[in-house]
This record gives sequence, C-alpha cells and structure tokens, in this order.
Amino acid sequence: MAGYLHRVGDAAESMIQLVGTVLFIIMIVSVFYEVIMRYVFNAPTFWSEALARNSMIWVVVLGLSLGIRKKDNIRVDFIVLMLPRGVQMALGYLRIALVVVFATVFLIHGMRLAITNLTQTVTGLGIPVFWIYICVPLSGLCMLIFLAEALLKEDTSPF
Amino acid sequence: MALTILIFLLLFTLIIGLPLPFCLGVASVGALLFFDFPVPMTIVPQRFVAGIDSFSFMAIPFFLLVGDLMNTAGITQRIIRLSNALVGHLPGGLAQVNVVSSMFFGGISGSSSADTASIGSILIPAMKKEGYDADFSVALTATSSCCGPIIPPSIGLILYGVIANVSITKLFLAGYIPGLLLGGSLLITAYVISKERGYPTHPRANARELFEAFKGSIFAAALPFLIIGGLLSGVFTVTEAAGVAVVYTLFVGFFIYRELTISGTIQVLRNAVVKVGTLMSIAASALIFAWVLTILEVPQQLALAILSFSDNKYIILLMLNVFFLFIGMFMEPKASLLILMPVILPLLQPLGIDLIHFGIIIIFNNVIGLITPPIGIVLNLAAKLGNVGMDRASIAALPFLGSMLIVLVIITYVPALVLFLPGLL
Repeated sequence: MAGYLHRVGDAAESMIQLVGTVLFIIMIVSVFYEVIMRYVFNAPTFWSEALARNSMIWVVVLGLSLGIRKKDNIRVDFIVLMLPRGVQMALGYLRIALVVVFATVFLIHGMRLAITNLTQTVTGLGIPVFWIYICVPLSGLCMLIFLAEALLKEDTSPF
Repeated sequence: MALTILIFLLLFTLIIGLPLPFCLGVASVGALLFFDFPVPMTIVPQRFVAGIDSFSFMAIPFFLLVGDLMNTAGITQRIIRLSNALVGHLPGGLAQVNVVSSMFFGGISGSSSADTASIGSILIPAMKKEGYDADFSVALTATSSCCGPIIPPSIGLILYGVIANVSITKLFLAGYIPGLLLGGSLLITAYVISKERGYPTHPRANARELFEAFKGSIFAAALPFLIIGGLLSGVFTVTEAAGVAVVYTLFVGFFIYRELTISGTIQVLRNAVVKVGTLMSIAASALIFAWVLTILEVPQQLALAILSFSDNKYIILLMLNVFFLFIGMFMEPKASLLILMPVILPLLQPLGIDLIHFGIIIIFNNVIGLITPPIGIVLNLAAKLGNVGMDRASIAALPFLGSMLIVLVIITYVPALVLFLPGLL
C-alpha cells in the first residue's frame, strides 16, 4: 500500500512539475510578447495578460500542494522544537489532520465552484471559467495524496 | 464568537508549526462555520483564486526567478569582484565589499534570504580567513541583506502595493533613497568597527583592474539601472519590467556569460514552481483572512479604538513602529504584513498618513524583524553559514541594528526623503 501510494505521489509530483513549468514559461513569454507588441508595434493584444494571469493561478494553486511533499513551506517551528519528542509527534498528526480539512474544502467546494462556472467564460480567453477553477479541487486531491503518503510512512515531521 | 474562533485558530496553528497558508486558511474556514448568517464555503476557494488573480502580483514570481537565474549564471562572483574593486581598499575591505554587493543584489533580486545565501556562502568564509571575527562577519552579512527588500525590486513592496491599492511603481521609486541610506549607515558602522579592530584592507584597485571588473560584471550591474530607468520614464509597469528582466537575465546568462544551460534553467523553473506556490499562497490565504476580518468589521472598530486614544499622526506612527518591531521578533515578516495591513489601513487616511510613505516604513520594520531573535530568519541563516550561535550573532548585530533604527526614525519623520523620487513621476 505504502509503495503504491508512493508511486501515485511520484506521478502527481511529475504532473505538477510539468504543468507548472510549462505554465511558468507561458507567463514569461506572454508578458514579454505583450511588451513587444505594445511598445514596438503599438498593437496591444487583449489576451496575453489574461493568459499570463490565469497561468499564474494554476502555478500557485498546484505549487502549494507540492510544497507539502517537498516540505518546502514557510512556518514557525522554534516553539515546536522546544517540546518533548512525544508531543512533537502528536502535533505532527494534528497538523496533518488540519491540512486534511483545508484540502477537503479545496476538493469539494472547489469542485462546486468550478461546476457553477461551467457556462461563464474568461474575459480575453474565451474558455469557460471552469477550466481556471478546476485547478483548486485538483490541488486539494494532490494534497490528500501527499498527506496519505506521509501518514503511511509515519512521517509526521513538519512539512 | 466567529472572531474569537478566527484569532484562536490562527494563533494555535501558528504555534504548532502549521505552514502559513494553511494557518490562515484553517482559521478562516473555522470562523466561517460560526458566522451569524450562512456563508457558502465556496467563498474560500473563490477568494483564494481571486487573491492570486492580479497582474501586479506577477512581478513576484518574475523577480524571484531573476534572483535564482542570476545565482545559477555565476553573477554573484562578478558582483563581488566589482564591489571589491570599488570599495576593497577602505578599512575593513571585505566588510565594505559585503555591504556594496548586497546593495547591488538588492537592486536585482527581491529576496533577502537569497541574498544572504549567495553572498554569505562566499564572503563569510573569506572574511573569517582574513581574520574577521566570525560573529561580526555573520551579523554584517545578515544586516546588509536587509538592503534587498528596501532597494527595489522588492517582494514586500509588491505585496503591500496590492493590499493598500497604491502604485507599485511609486512604491519602488520611494524605496531607493531609504535603501541607499540604510546601505550607507551600514558602511559607516562597518568602517568604524573595522578601524577599531584593525581589520585588513585590500590594495586599491588600479585603473586596469577596475576596468576589468566593470567589463566582467557590466551586464549584471546594469540591471538595477535598467529597472530604475524603465520605472522613472513611466514606460513600463512593474510587472512588465519584471518580465523584461527575466528575458534579459536569460539572454545574458545564455549568450554573454554562457554559464546557463537548458537543463539548469529548467531546474531553476521547477524549483520556482514550488517556491512561488508556497509564497503566493500565503498572500492568497491572507486575503481570505482579511476578507473575514472585514466582514466582522474588525478594522473599523480597531481604528476607532486607536483614534480615541490619540489622533496625533506622529504618536500613532511611533506606536505602529514599536508594535511592528515587536511583532517582527516573533512572526514571519511577509505574514505579519499581509495579516495586519488590512486592519491598519483604514486608520491611515483619516490621520493624513501618506500610503506610499507608510509602505516604506512598514517594509523597513519588516526587514528589521529578519535580524532580531528569536525568529530572525536571515540572521539565523547567516549564523548557520558562519557556524556561529544565534546568541553571539544577535549580540554582534546590535551596532548594526542601532544604525538601522536611526535610519528608520529619519525616514519616519522626514517623509520628503521617501516621497521625493515618486514625486518626480
């Protein structure tokens, strides 16, 4: 089971890294393209800013979930480190439980939000807003996978 | 009830070491459950996404990327060499080099920890080898990195600009003079201490060496001036300037210094995805938190309470300075900025405090928090690099802290120093 979840976690991580990197490149290219179009050719586009902004939404929302697996998050740890080992372990489980709550809100209510926006379209891009919001439940799902993986490994060290 | 839950959950989750975006998110979710009127939980993902959805915010990932790419492209060594040619002959040569390099770096990247990590890992060992005390080297590296968030580009100023809804271009222009004052005060402090302790100097660079150092680093050292120029001319928005800076850095790294590779760049981008995700999620969840506070009418009531205590602008500014310095000792600076600003903003306009001026004061307070114990993220990082205990590093940082506080008082009570450059626009 632990090995299986580890493979699922690896797959989720590669997916986030691939999508995130590609969207990051799209952000850079579309902002630079807009600068060139506006200042050199005096022909501003209406879609490049929207494309860049919405790409950033995906990068941030997915990047947050990967931060759990990479244990790369900003937090205050000096108080926890002063506590006895057993309490540290217990707080580790509590932290996982709290993030499970947050991830579940992202998964369920993010999905609801995405579905209620099926018909609305993104200004400048012409695609349904659904495709922007869908990154939220996706991120919630990835968080749950990473948390389950950490639990099965009995790894409650701060993430 | 909802407010009690909100504050309790925030403090509790912070103390047990939950990552910041989740602290703010969990506290908001908890408070929403106890609202007097029903609020759909979909407001949480919706506000989270709305919090990220800002073109101004995009300058943050771009400037983070510029800093990382500069490190990978071997720019750090070139900047240190240039600084050495410029100020290495002064008393405490390497100490002066440390400050000047940090000022250049501050003009390129937006993050002080990146500055400490890259400059500190080269200069702290070098300083120790030349006979500088380890605690002095560590304290100086940490404090000089504080120029980074004040000299634009600055991530803190972008966050402030979005929350306070003021022009980030003007905020950036306002940061240059205080940043130079801070750098200058650290140079003087380092000069005095070095003279007293007889720290070594380097021979003055001759014209040829100076020229060589300039030639080697011109493309890196030019970036801060390109950014100022672009902003002062009013041609670029900050985000556009940041996007151009990314492309410029890639161009210089690939074609001029030839130290960037495709695989190295992709690695930097992959790391940036996680870094950007965790950092900007703090901003997004802080905006959910701030929204909950506003619905509960906390900012208005707090403003009334403070104004009934005093409506003298200078006393309030002093109180806010002391309060933020205190909070800065215990909280991550960006988080305290994001949580507290929405609460304090309604207070400023009735008192006639300029929002640009206040932004610089707050960021200055924030960077002081980077070097004060027990949290002092940047001082901690430098202490680890220099193998010095946090206690010794904190004591060695005291003279520098003193000079920073003097600069803080000056910029607080002489607003013209801050507002002169943005006034030119």
